Amino acid sequence: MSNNRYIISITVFCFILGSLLSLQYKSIKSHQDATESAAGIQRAEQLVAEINMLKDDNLLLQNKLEENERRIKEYEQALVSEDENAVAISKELEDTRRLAGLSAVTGPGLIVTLFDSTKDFDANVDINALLIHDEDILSVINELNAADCEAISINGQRFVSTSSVRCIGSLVMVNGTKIASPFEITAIGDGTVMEAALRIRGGVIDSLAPWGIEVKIEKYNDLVVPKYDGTYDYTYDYSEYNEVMRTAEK
Amino acid sequence: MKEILLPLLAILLGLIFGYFVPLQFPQALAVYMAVAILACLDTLLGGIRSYIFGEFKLAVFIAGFLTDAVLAFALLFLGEELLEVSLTVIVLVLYGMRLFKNFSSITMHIVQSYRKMKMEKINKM
Repeated sequence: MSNNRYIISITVFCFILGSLLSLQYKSIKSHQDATESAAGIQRAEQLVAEINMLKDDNLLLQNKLEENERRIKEYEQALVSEDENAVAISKELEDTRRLAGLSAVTGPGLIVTLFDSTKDFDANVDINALLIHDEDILSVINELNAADCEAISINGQRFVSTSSVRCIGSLVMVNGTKIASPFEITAIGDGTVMEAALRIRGGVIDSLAPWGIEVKIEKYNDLVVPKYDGTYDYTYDYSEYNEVMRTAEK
Repeated sequence: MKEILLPLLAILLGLIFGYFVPLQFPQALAVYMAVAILACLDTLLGGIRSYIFGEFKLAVFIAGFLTDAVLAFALLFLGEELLEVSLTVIVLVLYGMRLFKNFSSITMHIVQSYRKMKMEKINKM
């Protein structure tokens, strides 16, 4: 009798002990998970704060740059008003600036917007094919240039002779600045001609269509293409002109 | 054999039960849980010890568990809510000491009975 009692009570206690152990294990585990995810959120917040700070910095520097450029212009104008020769030089400088994309361009044209595919991809399709790539943007730009476009910008980045368009991960880098989908290509020129060039049968848009990449073309009468923010460096150019410039700088 | 297998099975069942039961204690009660686990272990070892020495009584077993657990919880509560001194360590250490004491007397008994058996065998020869 005593033996049975002993066995029953010990068994009951063993059961309680087991359940307590696993309950405790569960709650400790969930607590750990919670602290881990909290750490993740904290990290994300930190990164967001950092990004915002850098953005602010960027804006500040941009403003400074604009102010400096304005001041240079003022000096130029001051020079011009004194000298007749300088007027001619200044005009030439203005022309050169426009050629180099160093001044904003306004005029009629169109905005081509490229959206990533919203198609549901199935296992047989490479998901990369549904995203917009550098080649897609470049082919659109190429077509626009072929249709006598005068100025192009991609998401506010002026496309100039030394510009590059390159994929980095899911983003695209233009002029060293990362931009993300949707890509807005602003082009100034004859809107009708450019649209026709893009929409031509078997053309750019047709080649993108099978992937579900959406292209929106809107014509505007008054568009602004911003100026190129970067600089031109000719370090490897040993032509006569560049040599002259180099010695002049020294 | 029954008295070893059944408790082991019960522990396994308890682990599974506790894992799948949709119940979770908040983190604030973790200390109390730890003490409860220790109290359980202590009671178990105490029960096994008293059984081995032939003095197991159900009433003593259960009453001992209840009073010890209540005292331990009361101490914890007192320490945390009123005195603002953590008495957790005291409770844990005391339980730990008792655990080891019980355990050592169990092992001692087992070793002694093993020796006895051996001696008897030799004597018989």
